[in-house]
Amino acid sequence: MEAQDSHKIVLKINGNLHAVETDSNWTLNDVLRNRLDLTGTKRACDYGGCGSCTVLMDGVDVYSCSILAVEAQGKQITTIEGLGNSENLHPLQKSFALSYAAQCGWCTPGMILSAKALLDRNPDPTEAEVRMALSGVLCRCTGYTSIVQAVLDAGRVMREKR
Amino acid sequence: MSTEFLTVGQSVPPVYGIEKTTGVLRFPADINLPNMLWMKILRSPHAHAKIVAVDATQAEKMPGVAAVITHKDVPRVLFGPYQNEIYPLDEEIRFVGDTVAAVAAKDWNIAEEAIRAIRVSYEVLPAVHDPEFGVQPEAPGAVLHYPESHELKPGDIRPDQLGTFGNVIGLKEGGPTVVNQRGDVEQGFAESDVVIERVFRQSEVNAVSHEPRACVAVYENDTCTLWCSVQDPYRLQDSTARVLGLSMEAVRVVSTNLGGAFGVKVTGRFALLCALLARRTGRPVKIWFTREEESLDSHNRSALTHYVKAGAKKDGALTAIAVRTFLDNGYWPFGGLGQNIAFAICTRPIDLYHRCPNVKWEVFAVRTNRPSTGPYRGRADAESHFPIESVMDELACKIQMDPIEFRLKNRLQQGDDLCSAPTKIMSTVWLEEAARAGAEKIGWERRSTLAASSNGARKKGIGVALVIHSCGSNPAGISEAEVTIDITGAISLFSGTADQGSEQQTTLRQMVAEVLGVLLDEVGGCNADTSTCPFDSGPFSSRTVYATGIAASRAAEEVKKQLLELAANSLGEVIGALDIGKKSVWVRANPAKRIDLGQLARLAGGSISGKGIHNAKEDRLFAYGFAATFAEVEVDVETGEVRILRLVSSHDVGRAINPMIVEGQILGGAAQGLGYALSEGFYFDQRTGTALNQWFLDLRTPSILDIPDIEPVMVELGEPTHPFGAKGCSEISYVGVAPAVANAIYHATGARVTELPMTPDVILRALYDGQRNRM
Amino acid sequence: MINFKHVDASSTEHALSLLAQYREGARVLAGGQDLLFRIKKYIVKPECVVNIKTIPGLSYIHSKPEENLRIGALTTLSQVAQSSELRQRYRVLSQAAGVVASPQIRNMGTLAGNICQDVWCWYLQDGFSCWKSGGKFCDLAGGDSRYYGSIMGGHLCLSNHPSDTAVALAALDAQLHVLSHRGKQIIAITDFLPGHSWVNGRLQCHILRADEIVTEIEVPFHPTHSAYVKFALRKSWDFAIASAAVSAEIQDGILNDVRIVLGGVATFPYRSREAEDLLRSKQISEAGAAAAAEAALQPAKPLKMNSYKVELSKTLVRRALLSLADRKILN
Repeated sequence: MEAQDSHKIVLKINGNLHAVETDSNWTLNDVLRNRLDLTGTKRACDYGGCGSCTVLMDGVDVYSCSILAVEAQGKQITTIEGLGNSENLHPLQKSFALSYAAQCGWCTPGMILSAKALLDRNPDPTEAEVRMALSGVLCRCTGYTSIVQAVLDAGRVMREKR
Repeated sequence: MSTEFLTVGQSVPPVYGIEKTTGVLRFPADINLPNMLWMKILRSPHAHAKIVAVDATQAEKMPGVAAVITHKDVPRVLFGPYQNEIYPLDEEIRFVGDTVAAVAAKDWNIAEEAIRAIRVSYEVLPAVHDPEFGVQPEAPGAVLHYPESHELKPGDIRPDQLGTFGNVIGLKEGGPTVVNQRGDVEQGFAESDVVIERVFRQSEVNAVSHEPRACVAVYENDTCTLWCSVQDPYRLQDSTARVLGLSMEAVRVVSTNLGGAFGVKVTGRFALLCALLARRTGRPVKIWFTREEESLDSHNRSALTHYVKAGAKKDGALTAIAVRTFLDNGYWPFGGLGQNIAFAICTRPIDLYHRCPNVKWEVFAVRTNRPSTGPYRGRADAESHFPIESVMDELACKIQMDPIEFRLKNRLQQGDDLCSAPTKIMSTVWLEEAARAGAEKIGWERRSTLAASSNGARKKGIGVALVIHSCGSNPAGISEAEVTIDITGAISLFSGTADQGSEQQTTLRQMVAEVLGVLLDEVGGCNADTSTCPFDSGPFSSRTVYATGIAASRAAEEVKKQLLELAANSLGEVIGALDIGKKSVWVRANPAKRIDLGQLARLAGGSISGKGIHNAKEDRLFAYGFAATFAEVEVDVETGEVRILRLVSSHDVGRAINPMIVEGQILGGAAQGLGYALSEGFYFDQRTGTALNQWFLDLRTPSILDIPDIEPVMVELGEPTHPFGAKGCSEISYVGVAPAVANAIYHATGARVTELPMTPDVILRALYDGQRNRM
Repeated sequence: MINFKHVDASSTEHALSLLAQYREGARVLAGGQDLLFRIKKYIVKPECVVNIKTIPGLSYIHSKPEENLRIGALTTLSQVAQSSELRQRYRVLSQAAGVVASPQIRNMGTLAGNICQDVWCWYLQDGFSCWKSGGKFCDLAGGDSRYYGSIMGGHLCLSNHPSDTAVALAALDAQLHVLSHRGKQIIAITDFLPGHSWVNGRLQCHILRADEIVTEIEVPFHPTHSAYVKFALRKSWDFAIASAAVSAEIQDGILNDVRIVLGGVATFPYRSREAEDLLRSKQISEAGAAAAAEAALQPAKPLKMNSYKVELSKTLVRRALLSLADRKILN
């Protein structure tokens, strides 16, 4: 077996710079979860069929399993950990946590980040627009109603803060 | 209903909510340890084969590979999630995807390359792909090597108890696995005014838990710790101890949070091999299933064929139900849970229609060379209600009786004996109340005029299905719980049940909080760690709120009793004069005279502990959950598309401990039910027996654009066998969806769909090739 | 995943040199929403992956009333779907791009990548040895063809061409600009996607050689009305079970010119000139749409499990054509 094609790269994750050594065949998802121990970003399929690996890249929702780590250089990557923590929750994290929009929790980071991408470009979405924006993340547990409601609630809070 | 309670009945935010939304909750797949190796499994390309030779030398030599393990390297000790019936690796391979060998390597890419470098030569054997073929005398054996009696431990189920001749699980050669019989069905049909005969074919379906299961094993100083996505950590503890030759105390299994499980994440080879590789290499080992593995090596809802005949009189009395069911049981030598499921299939719907005097339901649970089938959400009732509720609908139509009234006329009542639980009698039955509440919600009376509002190729209809399902009374279940108070006054609940997203910890802690008069966030705790939590059979059959809830409440009551006794002593009062709450005990007539829980713990010597147990075998009354599912659909008769306009799921929940969580479970179960109804078929290639829907896209679970806002209705009329009147409610909403949708399609178009899932090609076939019976 | 070398191309010239150097051992990586999956599943095994996202100047939408529409190869599907210009004047393309897969895939996936994607078929999985993964067999012929099998026959691989945008572009007479060291070629999309054929030892859906890249998609047809109708099991992710793209120049209710293309039913976007001939210079009518639909599906040769697609496709063609008349929203 040939030697791995190895790269030393710098990734900007949640506003912090990380110097990482990675092989060509590692995806952004691999690096986040296994080099940076940022396991909030999940993975349920590894080829863009489920959405649980969603992160924001320059504010746009993308599948981290379908992006090579070496190609994420020079971009601003946002993961769920970058949105907020228990001391300081983002309104989306708060609305999901207080309702039952997170059941098993596996799709939750993907749903929240897709919702963030939506609310950043469209602060007052209709329910149909929320559904369209979240149509790239599957949920097996909730039936989606509580998720849509949590996004609309967070949107309201975010508009009031402005 | 809940005004007399402090926290029970409140929609308090779930305990794990913030951890899930901030990404800090660690699932087994999220565990990264220093020096950790990655494990991958080599899987069989054949449906049935014997391993003749394995050559792993090339794999072993690869840089970065730490160990390779084959069937020659593993202890020949039986284990299994239901009974001890399989070895960690075996030379007989029984389905495409079966475990052949495993590799531990520096990373997953190297491990993947290594398994592809293992050379295996197989002797391919004849395979059984279809249960109806499998029962024929000329069919080959799906399993050739059964475990020997001498390999079993005392208490294990024996081969002669489960029948190891032919492919049918069961005792009698040539006989069905289970028969449920009463009266004389031939006589019943002779007395019928109307008879319906149908054949129903239900595809296999995968649970599609979003978290592919994972296991991390550490073996140090002759002890083994496993962090593993299983619902049965105690079973895994037992299996690991057996296979590794360790005492139970030397094995610890932690399974606190699962990314969805739905009944199918149980003890399996992957975990045992992970432990064996950890021992062999002396390093932590992790396996994380790929999506293909989670599709293949899981426990699917079995494929079934039902031959159904049912009759009724003009006045609506059911006269006879005769069914012959063939169930694809997968590769288990002793049948896995097949016998249990087969029993529930042929008895529960018959309990629902208790008034039907003549019944003969035979179930053939057949060994096949296909992946395992087992208890997926709605176990046994999702399998049986599609044919039964479809046929009930047609009978009602034929005698021109309202479909709800027809069913209610034949239903069971409180106090009836049960063929599904032979020594028990039926506790509360709020079925009629749930049905009427749901009917009102959907506007059942609109049914007769709905056709008029249909538009060209798009036809509307409303259908109903009534449901009986487990709510926690499970004869095989045992739950233990412990509540402790420490010197700081901290209250903790220890329970062996794993959380798979149903936030059991929230509901259980609410019950404990209620008993002790505190708020939810004053109760902490731990779940599913075999080293600190007492035994629980696991979150199956909707049993946690009910059975574990009873255990937790009893533990809290025991602690309360101790607290009151200590306080009475300390304050010099009789127990009757005391009140408890707000983390202290005080004299009712003189509240200033009080002692807090921490002080009481100190008085007790440092901590107070109370235990509670629920053992279902001891109960005389048997609790079931009941529901009515209503679907309003629009069928495009030119394309076969079925649009769900509304879905109302009405439930007899006893009491909703946390209404928000109960509603969430109802909606989630019904959403999965829609997948079973309309899109999720787990198909097999006829030529090779390989599962076709391994990739996520092909699993076709509903997206956010595919389902409407499902409407839950909760009927809370109590359940006396539970301290708070609750019935478990996390699966039952799944069961009624497929038949309700089929009945709505029937109402809309007159076409009876008898196949699941009801994909457009199936709908079109039913519309244009099938029989019609206009209403 | 296997090892491969990864190189960021700084220009088209750089990319072409790498492709010329590695030939069949190289793969072009644009959006990554198709190629990475195939590498992960051991369907393709490149020595070198050439990232062309780093080439500047290949992402644009130039839409002017008197000129041909020109879209850069690296324009994302989201950009195509969200362009108000395209929504107004090339609705079929805007709609098609908007129903590809899911938002995240559209955010990265490029228009050229969507056209050049290979088939999605469950027989690509481990355990089957099909033409696309080095075998010599197509299981669709005798196996489970209900979703992925062609109803219009095929050569070797019977899997449908999965792209939505290719169907729409075929209804717009699109042309692809293909660049190599031999110069630039302009190839009609219907020639670019002829069904499965051998190119440099690979069985491909398109005729791009190992040392070529697509740089632009050009559309010379200016429809007054167009629509894309997609029928799939789910409303997100799923490839079309069947689809129809129609575009026309309509004046005073008369179809002066019309294009009808079917998707999800053949190994390439299936244009039906027979159906178009029936409608040209006529008014749109129920009867006319039905006759066109019949004609379009007349050559159908379904496989064992996909005959339902024949009537289904006729319905889609009919409805798509009628929608041009009254702008009715179909789905």
